[in-house]
Amino acid sequence: MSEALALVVELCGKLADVQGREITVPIPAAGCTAASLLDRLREGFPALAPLLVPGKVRVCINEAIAPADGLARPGDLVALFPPVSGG
Amino acid sequence: MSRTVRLIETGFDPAEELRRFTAGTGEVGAIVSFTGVARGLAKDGAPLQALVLEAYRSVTLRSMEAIAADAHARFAVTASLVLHRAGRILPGEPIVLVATAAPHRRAAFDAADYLMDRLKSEAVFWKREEGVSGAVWIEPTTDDAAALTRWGRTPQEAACPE
Repeated sequence: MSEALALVVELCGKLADVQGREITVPIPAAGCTAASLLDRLREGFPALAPLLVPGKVRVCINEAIAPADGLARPGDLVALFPPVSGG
Repeated sequence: MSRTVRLIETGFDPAEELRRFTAGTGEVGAIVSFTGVARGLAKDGAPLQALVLEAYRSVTLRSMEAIAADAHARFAVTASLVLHRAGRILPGEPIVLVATAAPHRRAAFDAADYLMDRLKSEAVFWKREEGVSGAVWIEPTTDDAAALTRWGRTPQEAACPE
C-alpha cells in the first residue's frame, strides 16, 4: 500500500461556488488517474458530487486536459473544468 | 500570414486595435472586424451590473489559438486578430475583437464569422452574469449551438475542448 500524499485541485467556474477555489485530496504517492481522481473527489466532497459528471467535467493536469487514464501525481498542477460557456 | 491571439484582463480600444491590425496587414483587398460588447440587460430583461469571464490562462489561450489556426486552414485569409477580455466587464465595455484580412471580401467575412461562432461556444471560458439579485452562470445558448453546426461542429465537441 503506497503512502497517500495531498493533491491540491483548483476548481473552476461554478464548481468554486460549491466548495471554494481550492480543495485538497489525498492520492497515492505514485499518482492516480483522472477518472480515479474524480471518484475520490465525489467520495470526499459530497456537495461537489452531483456536478462531477463523467464526460462533462474535465480534469486538467499540468495545463492540458487529461484523458480518463491520464495520471495526476502529487505536486502536479491540477484543475477541474466544468463545461465551458465560450466567450 | 500572421495570426495574433491575445487574452487580456484590462479594457481595450477596438478602434485603436483595428488601426494597428490594418497597418500591419500589408497588401490585402478586404479587412473585416467584429466587436462584441457586454450587454446591460440579462435575457429576462433584468439590469446587469457586470459580466465575469473566468479563464484558465494557458488552456484558454490554447483553445483560442486552435480556433484561429483552424480559421486560417479553412479560409483564404492572410492575417487575423483575436483579442478577448477575461475578468469583470462592465456593460458597454468591449469583450472581444476579431479582425481578418484577405485578398477578397468573402474569405474575410467567413473567417470572422467562423472565429466568432467557435469562440462563443468553444473557447475555454466560464461566464457569469452579475445582477442586483445575484450571479448566474451562463451556458452556451441553443443559438450558439446552432451557429456551430453551420461549420460542421457539434456542441459535444465544444463541451469537451482538447
